[in-house]
Amino acid sequence: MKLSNGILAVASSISLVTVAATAQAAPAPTPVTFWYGLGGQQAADVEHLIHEFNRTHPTIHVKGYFAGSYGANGPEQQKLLASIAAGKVPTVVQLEIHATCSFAAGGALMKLNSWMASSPHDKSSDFIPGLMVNTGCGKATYGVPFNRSVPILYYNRAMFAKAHIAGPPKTWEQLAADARKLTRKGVVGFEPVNQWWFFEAMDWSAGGQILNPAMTKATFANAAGARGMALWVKMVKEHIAYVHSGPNDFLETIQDFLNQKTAMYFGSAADMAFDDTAKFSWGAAYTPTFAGHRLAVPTGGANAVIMAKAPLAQRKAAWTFVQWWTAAPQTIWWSEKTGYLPVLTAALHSSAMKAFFKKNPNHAVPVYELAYAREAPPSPHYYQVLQDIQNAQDDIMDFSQTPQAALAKAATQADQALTGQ
Amino acid sequence: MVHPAPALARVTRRSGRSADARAGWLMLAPTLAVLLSFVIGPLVLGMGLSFTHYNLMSGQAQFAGVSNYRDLFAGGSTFWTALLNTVLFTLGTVVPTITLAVFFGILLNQQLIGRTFYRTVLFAPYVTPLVGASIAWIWLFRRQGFVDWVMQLFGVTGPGWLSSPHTALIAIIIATLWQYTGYFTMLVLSGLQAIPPDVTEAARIDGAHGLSLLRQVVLPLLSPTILFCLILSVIQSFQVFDQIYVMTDGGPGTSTLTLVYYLYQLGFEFFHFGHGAAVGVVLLAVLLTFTALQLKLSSRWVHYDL
Repeated sequence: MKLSNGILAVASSISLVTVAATAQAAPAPTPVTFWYGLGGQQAADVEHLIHEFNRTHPTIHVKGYFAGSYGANGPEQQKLLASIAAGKVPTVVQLEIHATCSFAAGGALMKLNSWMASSPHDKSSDFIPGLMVNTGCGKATYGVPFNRSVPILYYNRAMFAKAHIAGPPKTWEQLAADARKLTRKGVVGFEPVNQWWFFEAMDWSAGGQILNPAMTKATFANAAGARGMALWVKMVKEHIAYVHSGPNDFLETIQDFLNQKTAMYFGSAADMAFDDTAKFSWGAAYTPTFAGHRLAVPTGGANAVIMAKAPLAQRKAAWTFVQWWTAAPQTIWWSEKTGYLPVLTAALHSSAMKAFFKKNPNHAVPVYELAYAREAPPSPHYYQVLQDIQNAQDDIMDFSQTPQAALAKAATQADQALTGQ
Repeated sequence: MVHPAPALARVTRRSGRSADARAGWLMLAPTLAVLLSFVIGPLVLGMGLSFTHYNLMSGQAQFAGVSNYRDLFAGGSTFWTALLNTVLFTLGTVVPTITLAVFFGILLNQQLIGRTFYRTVLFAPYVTPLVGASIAWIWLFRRQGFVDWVMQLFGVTGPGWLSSPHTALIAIIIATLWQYTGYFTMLVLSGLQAIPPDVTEAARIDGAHGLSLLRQVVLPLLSPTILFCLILSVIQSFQVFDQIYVMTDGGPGTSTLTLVYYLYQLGFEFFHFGHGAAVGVVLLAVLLTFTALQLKLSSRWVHYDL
């Protein structure tokens, strides 16, 4: 017994040494730090994909970090700014699309043109047309579409049937008429979310522009810019529409739709995961336009950007991760789970995606709407312009100022921001 | 007690003094280091930055002369709105805070049953983290929330406190009063307890009672404490940030945009650090002026002795 024990001990120590030697021989996986800005279930979905990537890519180790909301001016951007100033940046970041040029102007982001050109499936032409807007500044591309959305009109099918309305309105004029028919006790016809993203859509759908082509002057304070706001004000005063305000306005609007307190609402494609929990049949439709104007919609959400100051090996590893993330199987999984748009054209043509859209036709609507996507002005000062617009929107919907007056004031302030530096 | 011989004392005075000085500086060093790195250093840097266009990301600063200040003071600039909101917020918080603090201070200085309990309850909000408390206030002030429910009991429909530009600042003022009244009450209380009992005793013997005792003896002797509270709460109000960051983001519109929030917005949201720094310098100047003015005017109403 003693002898066999001894042999066992020797054998196991030899095997341990062998294991250790093998472990030493294999190079340590390249670390990639990935900052994302989605919480709750979506964070769990992100972590699931990170886990899958690490499992299938032993030479790279991606570490996910929830850095607070990725939203415009959100906590994630504050942290990113601090990390840049401190010279200790993450490798890859989910960055809100309108921030691309602000961060690129400061030299923080890596130009991706050459890597994309030689990528097997992440060339600019591989992405669904419309999704490449707001991924760069001028000819330089800094971001790869990550979680993207478009504005969508949601409507309650049962309420439409009851009011004998055949389908969703295509124009804002029609929407107002439908809202009048749909309004009854405890239910308003329409609820828009009074945020700047929707102002972009309203302005463009009346033929307006936010800035001049040189991006040196605000051009939203005119009849086109005021038209959509004026319509919303008119509808609210007529009690056929309701506008939430305050810190939870977006969520409250969605909740009103789910609780059947509004027959329609103007929200984001990214709401679909919420709306899927509705206990009634609903439809998704394109953003309406004013009669006679071509549809033009802004896109929202975030791109994946790679930080310029990260070591080259890590940036390369991050690029492998980004390409894996956008590849068809992952983008389909992500889109089905969250309602964000699939990003590659190849994914759209896959049988899995086709089967999903057949079963969930509402989810296909934003993808088709992308054909009308327009780029928001890629100015490094755009956040400040948007804040001025948001302030005007708040004043307008509170009835404390007319659309023309509020937008004129906002335009003066935006001009200062655009020419100030 | 052992006294050194006079001759010896004369010899060692000089070296003793410098040794004392060295020891003194050594003991001050940690505080000075912290002050220099986190207060005085940033202050000087901030002043310098306000004359530049500074990009935090690239680290490049470009001399801009007084253009940042010119932009701030330009007609129609958001700066004026922020300044006005800050003044309104300061008036709305300082006056009620000090009044309530004096009232509660006097009340809690009486021989009440459960006095310690009341003091604790009043002080508790001050030790509650501002951010957590502000989140609770959002819930209280939300549409059909607790505050609306209470108003409904009196037959009044709530205005949607945080969603209306007419009430959002008032809601933040209410939350701030709740947060800070207890702290200033404690300061007043300590001021009251520093009043020598023999003075009030003597006044009582001379026939002063109730209101006359309060007006002619207690309040004058409390005036240095009130001055201190006043200066502190004005500075605190001018620096309001957390509540606004959590509860309104400066909105709706610009109705709750205050100077420090505007500074933050310019620097950290719009990346215009030069402009942000200029707001900081203006804020410093305004506070210095206010404090100097308060100290100057205080000679008319503050009594350090009867």
